[in-house]
Formats: sequence, C-alpha cells, structure tokens
Amino acid sequence: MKSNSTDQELVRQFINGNLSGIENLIHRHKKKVFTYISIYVRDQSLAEDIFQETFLKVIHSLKTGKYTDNGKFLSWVMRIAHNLIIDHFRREKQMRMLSNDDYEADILNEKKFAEDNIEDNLVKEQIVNDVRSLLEKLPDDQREVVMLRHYAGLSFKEIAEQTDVSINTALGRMRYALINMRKMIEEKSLNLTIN
Amino acid sequence: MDENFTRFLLFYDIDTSQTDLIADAFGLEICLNSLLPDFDSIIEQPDDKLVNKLLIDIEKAISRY
Repeated sequence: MKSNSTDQELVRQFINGNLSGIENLIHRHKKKVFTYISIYVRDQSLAEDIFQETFLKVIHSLKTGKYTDNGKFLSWVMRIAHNLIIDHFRREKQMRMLSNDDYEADILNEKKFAEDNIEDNLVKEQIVNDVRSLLEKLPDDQREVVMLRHYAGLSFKEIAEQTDVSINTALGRMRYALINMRKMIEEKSLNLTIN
Repeated sequence: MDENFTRFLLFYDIDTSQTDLIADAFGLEICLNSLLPDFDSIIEQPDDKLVNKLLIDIEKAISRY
C-alpha cells in the first residue's frame, strides 16, 4: 500500500477519521522505527512490543489533539519510541536493583534478517551486533545523543530539548561519544561498513 | 566544549539549522558518518504479522475515541 500524500496530509486524514491515513504512515515509516528500536533493544519480542506501543501512543496523541504538526512526523514518532525505550530500561534497572539478579542477554532472542542472501545477512548481522555493542559501552548520555542524531535524525536543538540539556552540552556529549567510539573501533579493529 | 564555545552559541542565539552547521563545521557529522553505518545499510523490516496485529489493535483503539 503506497500513498503519494505527505505525512501531514496523512495525519490530517487520520485525525478526520480516515484509518488509511495511519496505515500509510505506518507502512511508510515502519522500517526506520523498528530498526531504531532494534538497535537499542537486543530482545526481538521486546522490540516488537515497543514498536506496537509506539504507534498506539502515536494514535492516542493524534486523536486527543496532543500532536502539533510542524512537518516532522517521523522525528516525533522516533522521540516517542526513544522515550518508551528509556522508560523500559529505567524500569528494568529498578527491577534489577530490587531482585539483585544478574542480567544476561538472551542469545536465542537475537533477531534474524529475513531478506537478501545468507552471506549478506551474516555480514549485516555482525555489523548490527558490533554497532550495538559499541553503543552499549558508551555512557548513557553519550549513547542517547548518538542515537537521536544519527538514527532518529533529530537536530541538536531537538536533542537538547528531548534530553533536557543545553545545545552546548548535547554537542559536547557527541564530541566525547565520537572520541570514545573511535578509540573502541581502533582497539577492536572493527569495520562497521557494508561493502 | 569550553566556556567560549558556550558564549558563542548564546551570543548568536543558535537555532536548529545553525547548530547543525556548527556540528558540521566541527566535523562532528562527518566523523559520525564515517564511524557508524547509516540507517539504510542496517535497516530491518518488522514482521508482517506484527504490523497486521498493530493495525487491528489500532482499529479497536480508535472506537474508544
């Protein structure tokens, strides 16, 4: 299902009661939103839950008039997804503190890529895992700014608003994140590009 | 980032596009793009069943508004 309408037009259609507006928006942006969540979250079923929750929150905000249309629908959706991911990790941290259990990533839950050929998939999977482990080693505030800028496409001003810091701090965090990532990539001789 | 840079940002009342230009000028963007793969090369497709279930859930949810 493809539509030539802009995001704003589809949003308006949905608000005015046309369900196909949101269907088109979901089909248009599902890959970006899902990939963003997947990079953050190792667990496939958790990524799926957050993906669903994101769009349910989107429709709630649209229907209750909480969305201000400034032509950046996708950035707004990414922010919602980002907040849900952060909420999840906060809850998880609290639970871990309460239960004192060690967390182990469930290797069986790692996702599999369904397209392209097997060799390409393995390379791609390796790169995603390397990116993920690289980002996981960054302090939370640095990881957040990298994800929001590089994968959610937010401007530094939007990142500053989203993370409740000054633009200067957001830029500074990015600078330190880049220094740290470069160091880790060199130490581990990682190649994060697909040829 | 040092104090002078903070003053510089405040003085020019930096807005969205200007901050991005500054990030470019400092090489942040180029560096970021050279370190990490872009979205398109690692894109993942959510399962069709998941999307279909979401659309059904949305249809149900809409009836409450």
